Amino acid sequence: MESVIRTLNELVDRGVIEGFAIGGATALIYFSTPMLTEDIDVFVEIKKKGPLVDLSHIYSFLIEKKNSKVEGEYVFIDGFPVQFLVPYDELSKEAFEATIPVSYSGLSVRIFSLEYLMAIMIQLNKPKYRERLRLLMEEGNFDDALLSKILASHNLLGRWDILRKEIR
Amino acid sequence: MTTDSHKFDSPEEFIRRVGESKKAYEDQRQRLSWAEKLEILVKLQQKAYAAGKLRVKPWPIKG
Repeated sequence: MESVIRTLNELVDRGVIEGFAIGGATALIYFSTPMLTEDIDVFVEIKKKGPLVDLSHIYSFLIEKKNSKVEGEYVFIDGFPVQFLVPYDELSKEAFEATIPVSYSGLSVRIFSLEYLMAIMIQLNKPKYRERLRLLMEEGNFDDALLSKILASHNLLGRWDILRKEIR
Repeated sequence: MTTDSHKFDSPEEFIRRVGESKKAYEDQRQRLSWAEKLEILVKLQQKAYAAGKLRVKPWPIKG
């Protein structure tokens, strides 16, 4: 994944994006047990030129300069399927603001914090997320008070109360 | 404990040994770096891909 991080840093250096952070299962694995995922979710900050989100300049740069291929929702950077996303709602915007720096093979990269990753999974409530949440509950490495605070500010505490009883 | 490693003197002994195993697993997991855990992910992807459960090819092992 070093080449992906280097390429993402290059996107920042060349002004293609303003910043980025890794979310999804790839970030979750930092805090937890390896779990199956097929892509790397990369949240990007871009200069908005209008009301619509346009990521085409990122794709163009990668295709032209990095020989990347696009398949479905993924852009392949040196063989790694990357899905570019922009923070899409208040929770994901807040999660993006609260990312933490970590190290990958000596490279610094920002990832979503464990509590925000959990809050997003609770919000989206997919079956695979429930299984991941069950595992995280078992591991017990998260800050329960912080998670509750995040969930309360996004009206998700009630959902979590029900969910945590179901997955226990 | 008896000489047979699969048998235990008491239920309490069994529970204690299970607890020790869980703790050993957790200690080992916490010692792994992110890069090491992502290498395990690639192995999971290889198995899932071989079983037709992954839409895209596994990640490169290094890179």
